[in-house]
Amino acid sequence: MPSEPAKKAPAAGLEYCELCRHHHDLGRRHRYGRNHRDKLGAALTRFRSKLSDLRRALLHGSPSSQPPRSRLWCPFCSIDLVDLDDRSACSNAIYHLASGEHLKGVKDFLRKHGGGMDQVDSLRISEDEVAKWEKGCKSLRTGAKTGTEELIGPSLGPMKDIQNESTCDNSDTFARTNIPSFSNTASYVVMPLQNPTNGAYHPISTECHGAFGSGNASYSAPYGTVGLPITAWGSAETHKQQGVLSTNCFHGTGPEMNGHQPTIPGNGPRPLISFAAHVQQSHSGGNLSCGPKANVHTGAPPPWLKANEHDSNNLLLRSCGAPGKGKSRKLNPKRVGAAWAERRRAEMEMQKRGEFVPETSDSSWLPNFGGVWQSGTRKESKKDFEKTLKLHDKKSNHELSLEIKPYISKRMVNAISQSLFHI
Amino acid sequence: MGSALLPTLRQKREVDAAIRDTLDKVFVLRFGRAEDAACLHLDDILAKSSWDISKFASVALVDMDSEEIQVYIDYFDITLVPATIFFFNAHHMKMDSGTPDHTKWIGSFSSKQDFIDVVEAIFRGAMKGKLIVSCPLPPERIPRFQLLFKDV
Repeated sequence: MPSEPAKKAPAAGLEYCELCRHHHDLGRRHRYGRNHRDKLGAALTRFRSKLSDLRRALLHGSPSSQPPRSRLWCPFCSIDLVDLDDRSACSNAIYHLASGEHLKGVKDFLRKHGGGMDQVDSLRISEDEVAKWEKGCKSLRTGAKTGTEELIGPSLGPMKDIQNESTCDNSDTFARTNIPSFSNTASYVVMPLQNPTNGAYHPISTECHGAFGSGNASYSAPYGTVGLPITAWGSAETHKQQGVLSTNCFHGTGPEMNGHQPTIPGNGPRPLISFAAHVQQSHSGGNLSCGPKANVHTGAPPPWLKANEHDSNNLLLRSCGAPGKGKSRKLNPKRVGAAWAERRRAEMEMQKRGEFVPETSDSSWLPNFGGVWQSGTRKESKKDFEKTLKLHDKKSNHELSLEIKPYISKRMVNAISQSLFHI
Repeated sequence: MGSALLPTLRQKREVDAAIRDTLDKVFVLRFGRAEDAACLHLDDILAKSSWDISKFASVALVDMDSEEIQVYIDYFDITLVPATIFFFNAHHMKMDSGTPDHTKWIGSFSSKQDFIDVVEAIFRGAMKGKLIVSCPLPPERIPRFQLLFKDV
């Protein structure tokens, strides 16, 4: 039976799979291999999680469990979407993910690597979401243009804006209101904290104020439960975020929110503002720097350096207390030959210093050795050996002292003497 | 010939100095001949491992054909070649590897790691104050030999 033709196509050639990161000559069959499918699944899952974080942060406004990303690599189009924190760049990312090019890239990727085409929608941002986001941005912009309005609400604790020490013109206006916490009106937003802190307070931007102050009838709040505008939640880390409140403000306030909720819906801007203000206070995002918290912007040293200082201090204490650590480690005093080692070390140091050291070793020195047929202690076996050594030496000396002379018979002696006599 | 990396000792005072000056480290002394195939294999393993164990052990080779070394050959009762003897602070370390002779290692090691494991076991035992340690290697990796009784 003739051998089966080679299964591989002779003209397949080597191809490089970007997912598996290796060359293969399997052609299209490579896509159905287990490794490739696993890697494809992992890559798509990773991108989906990043996309969902971005979507949540920018569009829905809720913070993600992970810190917001500063860049996002689109593997389908091989584009690096940088500075997701900045609203202008975010828009680039959103527009890219909603663009036709990205859609094409996704389809090509899935076609090339074998993923199902039903996954396309989960790997991009839809036009509806883009539209909602654009509406939110517009509402923010229009809200920022309006003047300041009286903000009525419960008196909140003192507000500290560590980034913006200068006060704007509106500060007086705000100060006159029942909400002294709005005295600082930063032109940019200090994002509210997600977790409550020790009374730290984040000011909201004038846009927020304006947004709340204006007739909010124009706002549509598809996600909010309290009728407040949905704005993009930028990076919670930076203070440059121009975005305003996120829906998380509305969702996560807890008991304080509950108290205000009945007053808010349909009551116009003022209760909304008060609610927002209160929301602001109750939120404390872990990622936000607010109040007395030290961070890069305040010029505080990083925690690892502080930790190092602390550790070094501790080390000093520890080293004083426990001299066994570090270079001055003490060896076990019960180790084999400890006493001998200490003595020898002292002798060597004396020799190094040039001091006279009595010669302790001679040619007959032998190390401590437990013999193969050892019957007693090692010292005894050593003594036995030295005795046998001496005996051997004596025997050898005795043998050497005997001269070996040739045998000369009497006849030879007579012959030699006669020959000498004749001479 | 020996190994280029390991010192070859041919005189008794050199061996004495090496044993006495190695403090708080295992001193591995190989007795053998450079021409012997098993010695060459062992020397290769010792040379390659010497750096790895340099922090807790040092290795030296002894030429058995040297005259001055004969006293050590008698003292250590070396009959089979190669023979590796271990010292710690000038005290001889024994190892129970299941062979009749616990005072030395006869033959070569199957791999570098085996040698390192043996030296490590000796070091650990010595630091605990033990003069005899158990061999960490499995029996199949320990060379077997016959030892004749001294009066036979």
